[in-house]
Amino acid sequence: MVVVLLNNLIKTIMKLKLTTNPAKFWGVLVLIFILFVGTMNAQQINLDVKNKPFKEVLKTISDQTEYKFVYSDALKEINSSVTALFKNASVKEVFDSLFTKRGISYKITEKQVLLTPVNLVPSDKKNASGGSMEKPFEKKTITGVITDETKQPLTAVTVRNFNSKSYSVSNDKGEYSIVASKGDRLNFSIIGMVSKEVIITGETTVYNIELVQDNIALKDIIVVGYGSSARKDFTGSVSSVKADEIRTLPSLSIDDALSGRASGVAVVKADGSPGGAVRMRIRGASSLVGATDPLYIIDGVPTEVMNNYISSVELVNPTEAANYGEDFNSSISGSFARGLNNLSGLNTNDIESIDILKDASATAIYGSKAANGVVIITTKKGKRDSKPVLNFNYYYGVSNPIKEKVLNAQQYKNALIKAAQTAIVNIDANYASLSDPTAKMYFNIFTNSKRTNANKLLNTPDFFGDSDTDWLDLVLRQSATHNADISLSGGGQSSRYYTSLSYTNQDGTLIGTDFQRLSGKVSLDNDITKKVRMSTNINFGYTKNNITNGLYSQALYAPPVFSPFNEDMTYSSLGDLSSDYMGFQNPLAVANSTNEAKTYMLKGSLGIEVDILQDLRFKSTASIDFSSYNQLNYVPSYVDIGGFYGREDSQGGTGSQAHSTIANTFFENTLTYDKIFNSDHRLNMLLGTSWEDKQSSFFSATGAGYPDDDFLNNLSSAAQATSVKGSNPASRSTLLSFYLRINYVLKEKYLFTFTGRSDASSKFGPKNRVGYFPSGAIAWRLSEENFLKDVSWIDEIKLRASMGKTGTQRIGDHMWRTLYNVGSYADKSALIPAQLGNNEIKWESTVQKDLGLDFTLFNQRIGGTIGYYHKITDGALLNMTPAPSSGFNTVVYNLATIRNEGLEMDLRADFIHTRNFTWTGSLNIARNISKVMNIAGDAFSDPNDRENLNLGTSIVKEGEPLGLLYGRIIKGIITNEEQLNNYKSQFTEVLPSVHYWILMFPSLGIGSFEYELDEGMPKLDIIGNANPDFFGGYNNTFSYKNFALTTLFTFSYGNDLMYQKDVNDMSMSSLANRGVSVLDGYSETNTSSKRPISTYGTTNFLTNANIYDASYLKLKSLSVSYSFTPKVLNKLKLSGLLVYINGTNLFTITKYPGPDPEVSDDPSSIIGGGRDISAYPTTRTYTMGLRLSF
Amino acid sequence: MKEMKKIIILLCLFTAIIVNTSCEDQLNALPTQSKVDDNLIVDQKSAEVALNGVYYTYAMCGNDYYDVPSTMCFLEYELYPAMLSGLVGYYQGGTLQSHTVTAEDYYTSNLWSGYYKTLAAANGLIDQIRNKPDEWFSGSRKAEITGEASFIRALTHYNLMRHFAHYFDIDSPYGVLLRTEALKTSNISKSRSSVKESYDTILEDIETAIENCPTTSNNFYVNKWVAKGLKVRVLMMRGATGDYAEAASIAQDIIQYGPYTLENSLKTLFREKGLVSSEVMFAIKPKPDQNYKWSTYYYSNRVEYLATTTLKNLLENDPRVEWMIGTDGGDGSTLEDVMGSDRVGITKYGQLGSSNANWEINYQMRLSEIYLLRAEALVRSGGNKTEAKNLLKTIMGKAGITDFSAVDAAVTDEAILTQIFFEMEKNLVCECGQELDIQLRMPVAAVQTVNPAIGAKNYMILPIPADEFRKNPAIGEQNPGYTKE
Repeated sequence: MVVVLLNNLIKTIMKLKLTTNPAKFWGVLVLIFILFVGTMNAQQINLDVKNKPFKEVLKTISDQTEYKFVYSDALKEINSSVTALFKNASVKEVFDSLFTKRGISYKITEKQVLLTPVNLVPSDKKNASGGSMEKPFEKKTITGVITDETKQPLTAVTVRNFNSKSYSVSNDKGEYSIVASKGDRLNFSIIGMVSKEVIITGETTVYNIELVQDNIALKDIIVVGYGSSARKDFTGSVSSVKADEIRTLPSLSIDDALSGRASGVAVVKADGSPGGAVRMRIRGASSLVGATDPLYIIDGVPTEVMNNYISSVELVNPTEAANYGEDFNSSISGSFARGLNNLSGLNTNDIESIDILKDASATAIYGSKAANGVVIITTKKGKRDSKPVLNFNYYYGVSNPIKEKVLNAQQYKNALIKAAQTAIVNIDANYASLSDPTAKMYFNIFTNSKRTNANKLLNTPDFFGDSDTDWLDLVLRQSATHNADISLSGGGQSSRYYTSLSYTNQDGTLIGTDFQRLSGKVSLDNDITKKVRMSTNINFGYTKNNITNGLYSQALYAPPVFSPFNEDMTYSSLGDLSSDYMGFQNPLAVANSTNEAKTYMLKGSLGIEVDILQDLRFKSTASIDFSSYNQLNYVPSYVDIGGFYGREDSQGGTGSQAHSTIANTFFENTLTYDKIFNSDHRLNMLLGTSWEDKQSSFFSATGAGYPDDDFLNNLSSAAQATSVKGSNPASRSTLLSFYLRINYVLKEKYLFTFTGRSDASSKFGPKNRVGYFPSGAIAWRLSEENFLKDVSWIDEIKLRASMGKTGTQRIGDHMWRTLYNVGSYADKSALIPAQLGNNEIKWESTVQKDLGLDFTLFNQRIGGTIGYYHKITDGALLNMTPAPSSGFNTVVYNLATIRNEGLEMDLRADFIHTRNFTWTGSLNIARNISKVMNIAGDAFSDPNDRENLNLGTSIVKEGEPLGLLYGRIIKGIITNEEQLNNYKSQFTEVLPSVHYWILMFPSLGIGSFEYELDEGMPKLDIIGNANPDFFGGYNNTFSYKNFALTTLFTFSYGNDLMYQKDVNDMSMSSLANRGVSVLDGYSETNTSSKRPISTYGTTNFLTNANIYDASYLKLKSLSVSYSFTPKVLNKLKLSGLLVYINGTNLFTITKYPGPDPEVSDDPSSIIGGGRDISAYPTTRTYTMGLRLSF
Repeated sequence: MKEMKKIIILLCLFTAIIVNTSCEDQLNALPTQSKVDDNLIVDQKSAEVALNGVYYTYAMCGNDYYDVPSTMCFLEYELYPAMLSGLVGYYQGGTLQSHTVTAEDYYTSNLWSGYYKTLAAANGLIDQIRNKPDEWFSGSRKAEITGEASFIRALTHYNLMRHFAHYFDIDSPYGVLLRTEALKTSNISKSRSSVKESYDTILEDIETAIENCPTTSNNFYVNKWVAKGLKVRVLMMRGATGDYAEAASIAQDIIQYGPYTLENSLKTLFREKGLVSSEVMFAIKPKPDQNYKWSTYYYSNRVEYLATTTLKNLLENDPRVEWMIGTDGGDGSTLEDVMGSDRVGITKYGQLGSSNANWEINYQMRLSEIYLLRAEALVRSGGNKTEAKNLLKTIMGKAGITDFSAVDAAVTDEAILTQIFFEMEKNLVCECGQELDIQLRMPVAAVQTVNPAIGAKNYMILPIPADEFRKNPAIGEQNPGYTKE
């Protein structure tokens, strides 16, 4: 009957088109499953009794089966007590076991069972003699205890009788009982252990079994949303990273440690800031206004990556200002954006496993938060019945900056003199070429100061100082890292614990920057009764970052001819350069600023789990994710700050203090129904609800005019408060969700997963408040089919297909409402319309389809996954500027459609596996192609201000991928007069006979760049694409006896990177220092150069000449470890000792001219982020460490 | 089967728990940092706060480059009209002073969107207060609030009229894109009205204001006298039959019965008294610590907005030349020095070198304007010319002028009007655009002595921003002489 039902079910699934009516589809399925559960139950008996009177047991059976028992008082056994355990056993099994064993005979007529003592049964042939009988071993109940290697009993081990097809399960003392005949084959299996088989010999009925841990299988437990799954049963796409793989890596944050380890997961650390931000994208991005980082679930607590920075005083960023940029006051905010990472509060040594869920089937259980993928991080817990284990880890590392090369004093002077000479020659020649008096007048206006400055440089004796300062050497250093952590774990019969504490201190390679962390966790699991368990888990962390404020950029540009200090030991100024709007300053003075961020983090949860029935579990969890952030900024009086037109005086020192808190509370309830019906049918159902409430508050104050830069520079000492802001609560959003997941395994071959989630979010109006996110997946374990089952070299082949819908909701609160904000006029409060509500807005939804093939071959020696995905994000929210006559700047609409599709492959192989030597390797590679399918309106760069193209360096365009780089285009170098004159004539006329080049490039000449023009002005267009054609990593391990050598290579191919500093390095256009590449420019002796001639006073635009292929192959990490032998350990009274050395970022093969192609200027942006802005050098780090356990 | 029953019961229970949890309230929770349409007005106090928000938008409050809260409307109300009038120029030149503004220009979009922000606030308030019970309000406060909001709406439509509509031609279809309803995403799309409809709407709002506004108020808020003053302006602007006579009579009403008196010295008014002066009818009260206006006129120790040669010529032989304009003492290193400009800036509100509270005030209406408008209206309506001349001389006298020979010598209407015109240019420059309004009532030849760049009237008004045509195609036609892009 069951089979028929299932066949129908499968047919139904096939008939229903997933796309036509998902709601109906799910409804039908759920109904079928419930029916199905009911039908199965009627057939079978479940019994779990201990020393229960026989009569009661009979009654229980009656209740379950409707059989009535008839017996006389002569049946003495009826007064004995019974211990038995049956799970879904057949009537015959149970009766055989219960009665025959006790010498009771039974006879079934209709619904009646007649019980009689064996000796009263009318004699049959076998017992005719009536004497004590040597009964042949027919069906007997086999019993025993199942334990692991440490003699701890194992619960829930499945015991199968392959011959009779019956099975049972061990209880919490490891006891089992099953009926078997002589010659029957019994199989004992549980996930995580190597299965064992015994053949019943007939000599005994007691078989005590010891199972050993299956190391390969153990890795194959996947933590999924609200539960876990065996990899073989899993229908979705997941990449898992185990703690072992990253334990010798000195990563300060967990996202950083994932670089190159999982296919389709692109990880780039923004720059070299200690503990800094990481750009992480799983299979492309699914939002334009919202964040595109994945959702992190840390021990069940959803965590979002965010930047806590609270805007403060700014410093001009000379690198950004070079592009005639709009956003050049970004030294501090940019450094914070790249330098802060709210995941860095977690101690990486506490992590047990990381599972990266990638397809919709796996992620849809997180519904509206899942479109960018989900990373589930599980930290360690105590193990049942294990003696206390004390672990101690320590490592020490040194980091060296990978730095740019700049001109020394002599090179600088020579280059500048030559640039000034070129400028004067060109200016004179260009003036002579003009005939029109107006043009000549304007030419003079635009060249007078250039000529004056060039002449001043050439004709002033002692124009240059005579120092030769290596500014980079003054601001950079070799930095040290110390990390120590200690953990204690253990557990008894009814309680388990894990506690840890870690301390990390890392100096930055830039002076004045560092990172400190104190973090730990406490985990406590208690079995209150046999059926009620309680677990407490607290992760806490304190981090302190001292963040750079653009010091490195300053050092790159500071002229080497100045000494750092004046004679009175005050900071020297940089001569004429000190008045440039681009904000060049003495780097050491800038280093004296304070930019400090302290973050306190607490993630705690308290859960209670109740076994309502044997197969039904209820779990209720309350958790909190709390963080408190403190920020301190101070710019001393002798450092200039950023203003509207560039540099400004800091008004006697400007400082700010800011504070914010975020508290997310979650209340989750789930019901899990886990049922193994028999060897053909397994079902796992999860039904849950969660309530989330997110609140934040902030406060900030800025003051200016401090009496002293070194001591009295706290906020109270400010002469005037320039700005005070704050709100508590600043924002609040809530989310109510219901979710359901059904996993069904048929004959261990066909796997089905269905999930559905509904989310109601306060971020949307009542009309569109609730979003539905269904998904379904089917997997087929080909290897279990008869035609492959006996192919010895195939362990597992699984085909997967899934489809589902997920969403994103990381947008601002109340975007659908018309809002009035508070202001003041005439010293009284005022309410002003601030936002026009659009109550039509709805969820951004992503429909993802996924195909995958998982395989393990040759006795686990080769394995891998090949996957294809196709993601369409529809209704991506965008802020549109409505007609200006509306009086509102932006209204949010669901406008854009983005498509991501890609291929991924993971391969791993156990190349050599001998007793002393093993060689394993794993390769992952992925390709993602994104396309903006449609957007209303023009191309844009800033999703919050559609009209603004002036991020300047990136653009979103319909029909093109995300991650485009934007700028001007050069045709090449002007090499002759004819070309020069022709070029000049093509410029637009600003005034009659005044061509645009007179204003913009008056010192144009041979060797200058020729820009491509559009209507007589330099044309702006797409000049590059920051997306790689493919990327991935290769992880290799050799181990010989107790030594292990692990290397990780990462690679990326076909991605462009915008080298922002290169814009300045194109020409000695100002007194600022340059990189050595400026020496390769065009000159009379170097006419084949692709770089322009240096002309003093003429800045170049950012062009395609500053875009470089940033493909690379990098030795990301290499470590050698040695674990001591048990012999040595015993002497040392230790249970484990591992020592290791590690090097990261050891070498890079790349054509990219900058120091490191693996950087990002804006880790959180989906549109930008494809620039190298040389703000903080990346590092090469060597670490030595040891891991001790007692 | 029993197990099954248990499961079903449990599932039911579980669902019941969930459903009973009252989450709907939380999901509908109102924002904590903002108010929404539903709770904007809940009593008289909140209505007052919303009204203050209308003033806030009129004053274009915001944060300056240093995040200092400031009133920022002086660009729109003072400088742009002064630049269009040819009296003030940006040091790098620009399309306003050369009357070559295009639909893509920053100036036009800035003016346009600034005005519509004010309208959105005023319309929101008028819409919200309409249905609120009268008993929430004491006395006639509900009507007063409506009156004040109506006034701001009228004033803003009037501002739009003079910059973006052919207001000088009552039969023209090129009127204002009027906004009189609370904004929704569904009514953003709207067409411009005719000039006649625009005048009708403005005057209707003014009538509401005259009827309902309070009789007295602080001069940084409005009352019915200010509303009457606006009516004088609008009637002078329309100039239809009977308008001048009516304007003259309303002006007389204000002069005679209004609570305002002329300040004895114009310099004292601007440099010392500011808002305290009893002559000020309506002005924008600056924020306590702002210096945005001063630092814009005089950015980074140099004059950004120059007094033009024509303004200097006008002030020649006028005692006001001593204090209304001044130099920044540049050293010849900046671009404007090279180009031969003498870097003379506007010092009407204070010295260039130092900021002070008076620098930051933006004057919207003074009694002097009413005097001058009455004088002009008298002449134009064929009224008493002597009285007109006397009104003019009274105002000139307050400015320190003792030699009235030019006024006395003016006999014809045209000559008298020219004298009034000159005084209006000098007296009201860089306040609220009255120096520009009168230029369109004067013969082009007369105006050209002051504003040499003036051409056809078309180019005294601005093009509607290109963005409006892109996003609100329903608006209709661009102003003649300009393109949509």
